[in-house]
Amino acid sequence: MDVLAVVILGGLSYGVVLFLVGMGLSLVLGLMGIVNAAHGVLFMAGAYFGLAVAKQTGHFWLGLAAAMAIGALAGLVIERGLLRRLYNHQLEQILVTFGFMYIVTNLHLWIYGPRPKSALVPQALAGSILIGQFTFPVYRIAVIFAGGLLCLVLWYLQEKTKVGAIIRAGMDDPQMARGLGINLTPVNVGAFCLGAGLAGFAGFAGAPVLGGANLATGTEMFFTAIAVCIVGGVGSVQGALAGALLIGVATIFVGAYLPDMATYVTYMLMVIVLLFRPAGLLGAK
Amino acid sequence: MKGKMWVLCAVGILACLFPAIASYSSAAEQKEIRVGAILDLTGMLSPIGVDSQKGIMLAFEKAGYKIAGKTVKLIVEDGASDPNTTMDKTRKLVETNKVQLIIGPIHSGACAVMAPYLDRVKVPQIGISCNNDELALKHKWMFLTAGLLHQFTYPAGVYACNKMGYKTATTLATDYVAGHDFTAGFVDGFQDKGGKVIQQQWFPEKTTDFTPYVVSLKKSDCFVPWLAGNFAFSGLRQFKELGVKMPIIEPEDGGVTVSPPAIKELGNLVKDITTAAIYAYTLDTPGNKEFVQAYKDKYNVLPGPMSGGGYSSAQVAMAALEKTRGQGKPEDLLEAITNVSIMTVRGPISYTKEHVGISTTWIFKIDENLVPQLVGQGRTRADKVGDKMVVKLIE
Repeated sequence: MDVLAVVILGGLSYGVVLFLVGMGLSLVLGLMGIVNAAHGVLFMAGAYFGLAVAKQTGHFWLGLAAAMAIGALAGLVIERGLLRRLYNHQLEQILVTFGFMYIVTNLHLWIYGPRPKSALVPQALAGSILIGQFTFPVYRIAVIFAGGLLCLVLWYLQEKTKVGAIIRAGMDDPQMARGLGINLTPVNVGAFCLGAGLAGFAGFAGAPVLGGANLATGTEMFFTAIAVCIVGGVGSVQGALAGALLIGVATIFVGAYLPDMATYVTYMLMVIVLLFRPAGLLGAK
Repeated sequence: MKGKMWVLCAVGILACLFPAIASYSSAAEQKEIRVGAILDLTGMLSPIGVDSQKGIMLAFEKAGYKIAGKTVKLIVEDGASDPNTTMDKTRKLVETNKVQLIIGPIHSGACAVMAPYLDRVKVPQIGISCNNDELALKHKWMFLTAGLLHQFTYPAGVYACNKMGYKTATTLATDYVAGHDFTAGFVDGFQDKGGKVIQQQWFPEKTTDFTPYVVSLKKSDCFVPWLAGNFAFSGLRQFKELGVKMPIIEPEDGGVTVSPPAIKELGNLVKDITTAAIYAYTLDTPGNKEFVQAYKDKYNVLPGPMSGGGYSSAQVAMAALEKTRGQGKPEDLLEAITNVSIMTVRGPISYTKEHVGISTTWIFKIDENLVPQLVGQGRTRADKVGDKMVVKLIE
């Protein structure tokens, strides 16, 4: 029983980190139709910069804010500097953002060196709770709750606010939205920066769950975020949450009970969803 | 007519000068020895790749970039911890840069890809770390300086049973060649001395969350994880967070546990871990104190295992090139490397006729001050018997 409890909690905390990074990509993909291949390095940049600020200042929360800020800033640079000239040119978007990914990764190698950085946990969340014969870190439980809260906030923003209505209108029918006098450009830029900021936030907040920050997370997290979008569906909070939690819990579950299949879990889920629900579990039919 | 005469004269003069120019070029070339190094400067193994580069460059700097009175040109390329990239760089070093030998890389998959090509072009490769049996069995031009993967970790298994008194063990390692072979060596040594391995687990290469493997661990006298590079950072933290109480003995340190920069990041997570490594800065080997000081002066940090590994492999390269004076046939250099028997900062290095290092495995325990203390060692050799490589503990 304790094994099952730890597996579920582990899967949920991992899934929440995937939700935070996948949500940003899903939002941008759904609203603007852009596959931002540099999304993973925003996660990595948030982790590195946030950890640097937190270690320098001794404040975890400052690091968290810095991580989100660097993600949003990088998002602004990508959108305004690179992508605004490439709307409706999908191949060029992917190529440009892929190149940006390599540039940012090498920049981090130059600034921070090749070695991974260990994660930081705030003192108040540094302990563990006993679950049978195991201990489980309090921080990961806090991540589950924080992720849930953020999910509610984002859902509220998406469903119950005017801004959310405009974003959804822009996703469903951008021409009609423009025809009604809505200027989608600031909406797109805002959504892109929000998505990028979420990725940076996820990088720092998720570092203790993933064991720290390293240069490989840039590419790894991009492909995982794509998987979240495919499985859950693009453009909605619910879709990103469903996809992320399914992948997170399945990965940990299969790793514990069917370890030989652990490598293939994410890809198998993607194949199954694409076969039976190509738009994703909660995507539009 | 006059114009044509001028052209003919110019051509004639050039024709006379050409042999002189050609001989000047080859003389210039003969005065220079070209050494290539393919190192994992980016990618999964970048932390230890960069360390090995530092060690190699320090070795050549100490020699003044001169061997047998000739200037040494060291050309370093980044293999990016990737076999395809490594292969491209290998071709470049051989075909464009005309190197006489190549040092590195560390990535075992990359070495496997280079091996057939180097056999064809007859350029020897001096490895830095351990590698798998196939390289020794099938490829003549590869030198496995730290020995075979399972050869290197065999003494750690013997140590765990004999000296630490453990009777049962549970293992966890990355699910690829190095993970399997490193673990196999430990298991062989452990079981040969009467121990029993009650569980073996393997995790996929991109694993970041070790929860499923920790909850599946069976209780035993010791926990034997092999975690290289990034995995060590996530794994060691998560083992502690999830309440793993079994003493940890690593079959090999993954370039992390005895590496001072990594210890600085990991802190108490490495305390009390016993591990096997090719080198640590605390070794009392001839020349090591001077190497550690020189490394610290130059790079402002203490050397890690691959720093010592890179330095030692460069020492091997220089000893062999000194013997051939940087000239002669490739087979002469091959023979010179095969016959190398030198004392390096990581201990004595020599090779069997299959070009497998007769290897010293140093066993360290990280003390409460996070310093790797030498607690044991074992010297092994691996020889070809039939179509297999058989490991023997010699000291």
